[in-house]
Amino acid sequence: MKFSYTLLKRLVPEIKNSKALEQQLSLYAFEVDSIEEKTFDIKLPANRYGDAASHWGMAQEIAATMGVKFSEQRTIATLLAKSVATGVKIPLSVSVQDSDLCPRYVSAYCEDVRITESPKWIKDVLIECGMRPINVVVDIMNYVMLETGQPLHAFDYDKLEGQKIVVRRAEKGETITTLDDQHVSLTPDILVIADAKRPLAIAGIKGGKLAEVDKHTKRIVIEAANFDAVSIYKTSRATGILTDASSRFSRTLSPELATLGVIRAKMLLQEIMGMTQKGAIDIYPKKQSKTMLKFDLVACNRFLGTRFDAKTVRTYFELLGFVISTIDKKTPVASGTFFVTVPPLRTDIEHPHDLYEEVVRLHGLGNLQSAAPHIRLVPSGSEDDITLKDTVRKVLVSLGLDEVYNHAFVSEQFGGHDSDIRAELIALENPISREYTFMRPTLAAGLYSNVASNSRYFDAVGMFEIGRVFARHKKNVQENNMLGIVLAAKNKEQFFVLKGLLREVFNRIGLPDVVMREDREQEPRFAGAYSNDREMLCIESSGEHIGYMAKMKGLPAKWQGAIVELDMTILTKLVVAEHEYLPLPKYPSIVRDISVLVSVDKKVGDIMQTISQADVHIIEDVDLIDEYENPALDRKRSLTFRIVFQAGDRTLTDTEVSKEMEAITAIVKKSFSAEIR
Amino acid sequence: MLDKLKTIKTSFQQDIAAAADLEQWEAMRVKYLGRKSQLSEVMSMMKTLSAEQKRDIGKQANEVRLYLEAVLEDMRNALEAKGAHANQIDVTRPGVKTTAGHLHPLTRVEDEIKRIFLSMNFSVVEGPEVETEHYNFDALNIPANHPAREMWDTFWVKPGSKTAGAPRNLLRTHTSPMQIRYMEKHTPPFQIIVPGRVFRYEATDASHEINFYQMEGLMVGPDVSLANFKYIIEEFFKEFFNDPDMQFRFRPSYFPFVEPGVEVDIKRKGDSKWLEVMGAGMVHRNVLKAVGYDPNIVQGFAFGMGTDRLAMLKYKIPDIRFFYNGDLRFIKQFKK
Repeated sequence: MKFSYTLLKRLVPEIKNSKALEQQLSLYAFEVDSIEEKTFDIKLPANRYGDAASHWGMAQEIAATMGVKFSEQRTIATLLAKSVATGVKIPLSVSVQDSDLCPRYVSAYCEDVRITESPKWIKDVLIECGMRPINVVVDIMNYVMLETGQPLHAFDYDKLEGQKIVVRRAEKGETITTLDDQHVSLTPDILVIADAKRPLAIAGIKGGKLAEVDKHTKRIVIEAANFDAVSIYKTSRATGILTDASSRFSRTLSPELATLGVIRAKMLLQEIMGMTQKGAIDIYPKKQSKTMLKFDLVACNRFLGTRFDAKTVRTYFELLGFVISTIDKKTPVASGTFFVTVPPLRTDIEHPHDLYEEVVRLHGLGNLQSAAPHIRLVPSGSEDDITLKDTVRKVLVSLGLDEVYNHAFVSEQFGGHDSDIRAELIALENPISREYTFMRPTLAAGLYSNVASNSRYFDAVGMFEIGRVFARHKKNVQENNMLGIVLAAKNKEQFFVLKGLLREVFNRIGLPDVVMREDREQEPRFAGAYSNDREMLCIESSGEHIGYMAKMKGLPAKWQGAIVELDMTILTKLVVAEHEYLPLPKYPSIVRDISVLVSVDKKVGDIMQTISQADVHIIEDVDLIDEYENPALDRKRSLTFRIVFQAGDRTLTDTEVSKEMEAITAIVKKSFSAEIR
Repeated sequence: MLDKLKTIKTSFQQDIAAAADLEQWEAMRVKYLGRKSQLSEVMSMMKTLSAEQKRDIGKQANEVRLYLEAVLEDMRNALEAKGAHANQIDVTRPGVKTTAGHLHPLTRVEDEIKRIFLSMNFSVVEGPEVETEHYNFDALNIPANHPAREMWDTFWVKPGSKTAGAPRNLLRTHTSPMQIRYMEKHTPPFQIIVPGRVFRYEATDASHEINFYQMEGLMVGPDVSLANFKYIIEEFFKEFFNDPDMQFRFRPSYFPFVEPGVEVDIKRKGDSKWLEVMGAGMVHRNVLKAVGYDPNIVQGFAFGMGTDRLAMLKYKIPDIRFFYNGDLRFIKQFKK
């Protein structure tokens, strides 16, 4: 909000210069967004519009933080206590039909208006606050708003129909043309100020053309009112009209403020153009009650961790214009327990905590003595899934992979024309662009584009991401924490590199008995665009589906890649924390190779499984060490397996192993129609 | 047997002179000290001898073995010094390049923050990224139709069904909802930090992203004060930037879920300007009430800081968008 340095300095002569003022404000009161010449743009918190969205309030604040008495403090308090209504009969009737939305409505009727230019001192302040001077009446309304914080409006009395002002909800179909020529259709949710027939202004937001003050205006009605914050906020949003008045009203102003506004406006009108005020009507059915809080110094010090004494806090309160009084005769103020009566405009102060804030603010947050907390030690740590995330990251980095973070969104195109997939996507109501329309249901989309973008700089990449994915499950949003890994390289098959790497990862994180098998039913639905469903494995452990691994498709020319996605929540559940020692082998092992020629549709996995199960007692390990395919072999391929034999209780003999090999040969021949080479 | 030992020694002395390179030397070693050597034969025959003979011959055999070993060792050293291996490697050649992977800089910074807070007895918890309006706003004393909500530009999730009155989902605009979720399930005293991804509906540029990371902190107990907050945060930043003489500025600020609200600025050695690094304050009584605590009995502080911002300051990264574009040339820089 813009403030005039000239006016602030006039109110608080102790201000040294604008640099000092900025420092003072930012350390003790409010952040200063910018200073341009004599304009201070101050960031006002939403709860301080009641008092500080005004030069008087801001000056009060500045003086208090500087530790000086604000010279206008008493005058303002006196004005606030004055009564507005006069008994004088005036040719105007006012009625408020909806007092919930309009807790107070003051109308002051004035005659002998002569429209001229405003004096320079008023125009200067308006310009410093970013406003355009118009004519003396409008300018005084604006000037008084800047001074007091109360939005004011002046109607041309002679343009009112029926000498009436009615505060009511708009009727369906009514419209209004605002002062800046916008045509607005009104609804019954919108409160208007009307005459006998037509809406003259959108209450608390903007005046209309019909009763605009112009150069011929002779008589005016000044409005100083108070409107319901939520209603103003909604109307301002609904109509898209944001004004000085609406931003003030929507942040809760005290109805008492209207007194200040109307009295000050009359003073200036009289002073500047000798106009006569004939009388005023004040409709204020429920007067705001006084806020009186019990302050307890011990509680204050406990809250802040300070050792203030009663005298210090009392000084702070009085600088702010708060009134201190004793609780009873036996408890002097010096005891630290007393009543604090808050000025009516300080709508933000409702509870002793609000008083503590004032104390520490005036003292200076920076001057607070730091103190180590006294705590009960409890074992601290991370949730299991966070710990696993950390472990996985370290393991993957040790295996040479780089970590990436991608946006949590996917584009409008995602899922193409697959209506099932589209139905499960989480869509944003207000996407920021087409590229970021849905929440990502898979990490594959991001990792896929990472491969593409990095392929310009690298011949091989290995990356992983740990992040959330989202999908609609029944009516709810399901959010899963996933691990995605890709390996991709130019001219190099990556599937088996990734498969091997994955084994090591599972061993390192303590996931036992992982099964990777082909299963066409368990396709990775959301990653379909990036993975080949015919070259895909589903990954299970302890009977739970934990993810998939697949060969990637659609990569840049000559690039080959493989991707895996695992559900971190299920992994967290399955990993085994403790290692158990296994005795080292006491007896030597024997290694034999076997080469077979089989049809290409026989699966290596099946053959290896068959070999391993030939004699589970002494077959320690089976591995594929060579594969050879050639058109000359006529849809057959040559596979060489290496078998490691080992017994826990004796040294195996050659004869024993040879016998075992014969058995294996026989079973492989039979089960896979293999030729042994 | 003594004769045999002598013969071994003599024959060794003759043979050894002929060993011209390491290969021949190795053959010699196997011949005289190997498993099938004559010496080994003598050793294995000893078990047939009487105790007295055993001691005598054993001693002799051992001497022969030591002698053979010593001569062979000298010989090997001599061969290595002059032979084919002498100065063969040019030690000035570059080493074979080897590398491990790289953690994302945000992970590194998050880890560092977690390490420091864990050392101060804080625990680490996380929460959901898709939140309800209740946790993200209402329970944090940010009511609907209040302009304070405009402090957070929010992504709203399209409702899945047209059920009226169903809670509205949104992408959390801060990690603060986890304050509520945690307090609902725990009883003070406790102290936690909450790392996580948050979202803002705003145009991206060098210092703004639609998603970024925050670190939330919450400490609640019977007498956790604002002075305690100051202590914890000063300790944290000094450790994080490794600058024990860092300067701090604590300014009044406003967030509806704290009171008083505080903004923290730091100035490190060599910084010319104050850097805004954190918003914080004492947990607002309405927030404590929303989770069923009695604000007259417990109190505490909460804070939030931008992990991205801290990473940018720590590593002097000029553009936040580097964190989310997956460019490995960027990621691979973060080694130390």
